[in-house]
Amino acid sequence: MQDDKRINKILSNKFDSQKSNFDQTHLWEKLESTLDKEASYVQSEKRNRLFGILFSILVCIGIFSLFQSNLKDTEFAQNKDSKKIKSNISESYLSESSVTVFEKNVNQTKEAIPNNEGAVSVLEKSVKLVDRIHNISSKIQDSKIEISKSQESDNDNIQNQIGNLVANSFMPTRQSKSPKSDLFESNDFRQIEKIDQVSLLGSLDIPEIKFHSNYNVFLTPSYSRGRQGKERTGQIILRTEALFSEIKYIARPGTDPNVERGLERLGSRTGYAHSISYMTVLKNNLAFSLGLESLVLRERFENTVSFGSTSGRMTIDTAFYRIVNGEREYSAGEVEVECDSIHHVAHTNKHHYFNIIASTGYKFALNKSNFLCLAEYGFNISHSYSGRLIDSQIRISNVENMKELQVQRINGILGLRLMIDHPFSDKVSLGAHIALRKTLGSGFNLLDEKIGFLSGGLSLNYRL
Amino acid sequence: MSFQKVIKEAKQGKRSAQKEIYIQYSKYLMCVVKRYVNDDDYLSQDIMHDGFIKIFKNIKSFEGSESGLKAWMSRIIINEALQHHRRKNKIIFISHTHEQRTEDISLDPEIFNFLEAEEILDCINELSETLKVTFYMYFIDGYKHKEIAELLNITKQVSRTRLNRAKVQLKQIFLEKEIGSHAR
Repeated sequence: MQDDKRINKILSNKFDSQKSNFDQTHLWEKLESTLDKEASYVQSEKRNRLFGILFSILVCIGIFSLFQSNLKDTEFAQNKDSKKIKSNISESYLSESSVTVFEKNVNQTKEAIPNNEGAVSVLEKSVKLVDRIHNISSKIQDSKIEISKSQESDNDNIQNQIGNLVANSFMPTRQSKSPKSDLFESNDFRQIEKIDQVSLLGSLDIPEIKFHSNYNVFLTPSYSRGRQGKERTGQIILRTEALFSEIKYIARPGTDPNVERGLERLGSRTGYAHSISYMTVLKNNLAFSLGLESLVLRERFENTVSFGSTSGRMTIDTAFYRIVNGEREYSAGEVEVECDSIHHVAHTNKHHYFNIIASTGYKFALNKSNFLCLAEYGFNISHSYSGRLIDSQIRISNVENMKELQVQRINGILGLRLMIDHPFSDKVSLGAHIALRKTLGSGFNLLDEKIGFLSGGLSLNYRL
Repeated sequence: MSFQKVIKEAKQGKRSAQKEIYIQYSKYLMCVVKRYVNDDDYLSQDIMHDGFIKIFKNIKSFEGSESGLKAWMSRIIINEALQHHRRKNKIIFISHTHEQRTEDISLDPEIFNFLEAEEILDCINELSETLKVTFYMYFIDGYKHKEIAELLNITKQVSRTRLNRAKVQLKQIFLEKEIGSHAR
């Protein structure tokens, strides 16, 4: 051993100063050109990476702004519709013949709402008011005075008053009788004439409840198989996801504090999803994927609201029915529920989505691992919804007779997925991902619009 | 330019600093490469080229003195030479886990003191490829058995056995060339 150390020392010294002559300049020229190429390659890689990120961000912004503009259009259309209803009412009541039409409507409403003297008296009042308006308008016509801006605002007020009165005429009032014996009667009473007339109720001081969902946590085992080629790498990904989350209602500012406290109760959401997708990463590290997903969500909301000594109303988004020609017609949407001093409501919803999800992104090559940043966007090819109000004492539904409701709605999807993949051998690698997704679009106003998902999980990848 | 400044500028990717490092160390590193590739000029230049690219790419991670830089660069170049060997299958590094274990052989250090570097190289070059590489790595480039085992994908025991076999054969070569008697 000592000899080895001595030999090592002697040989190291002897060879340390040894130099070999060769054409240094020629090799340096080669080296310099390679270094230049490397530098330009690194720059183009950086450019590509930047381009990939910018492209993903732009796509996200584009989709989001499209969604926003779509939302504005929808809101505008809704506002326009409600204004249209009001203006139609006012225009028709300002004309001579409209009074009789309205009287006819009142009579029809009287027939549609039996045993409701309060509502009838309200309707009679509204007829008187319309007569007054008619007189005012004829005076205006006689004097041939041009309508000024201030008059327009007056007209608006009058229209609002008419709207309120008409809305009152359609609105349910609290029954003093025991509700259970008159369940079917009260159900009939709770018929909603038209959903768009609910918008007329907006002018009244009703506490409106906004639905809020916090993020869901997914447990995501997934499996993928892939093939590596010279130009691109392909991967088939099978994924199963399970989720559980809490949901809660948040009252709008200005809501009665008792109502607000009562409504800030949690409900639960459970669900699962299966998906299959194909992902390809090109030589320039741009990644594309396309897949199909089936997602089932179940929601349950149960709540007790105390209004103190007064009664109140709240709007919920659920399934309801109305009786048309003696038959029940089921619908989904907002239903205004009148609440007792202590109101208990529970309802369940089931959503089944089939989604097409596409994504584009960029693969960052780390030391050994790969990091993928993907922008996800897609749409919902089918959304079947079924919901029922389980218990609302005197309201809406008879649980035994309530059918489940199926509706189709189309939503947009926008998300961001980050994936990391670490190889253990040439064929096997372990991956992890985290994804944030928002469901956008024309879903139910209060329940499923803008549902946010935060998911994460591990995957085992096998390369063919 | 001081060493620290050269290193700092090379880390920033300045071409002048890279060239200075290349000029200063390339002749020594070429000598190292040639030991492993039997004086093959074309292959040596290829290895030097690839090795220097790696050196300039990874110089950011280097922290140390001038002698440290020389050793660090040598290791990169030797590693590159071994990889070239593997790719071109000039040396097949077979892991002989059942290679026969031999007793530790000792060589007289004075023989190496007495001989010139070229004479020593001539003797070592008569060894087989696998033994020669192990001998160079252990005695000239200062690798431990564990490191040799990792780089050549063999076990430590195989590395020891190969070194002993190299020593036995070298003793034989010295005897044939009557080198040992001169030394004494």
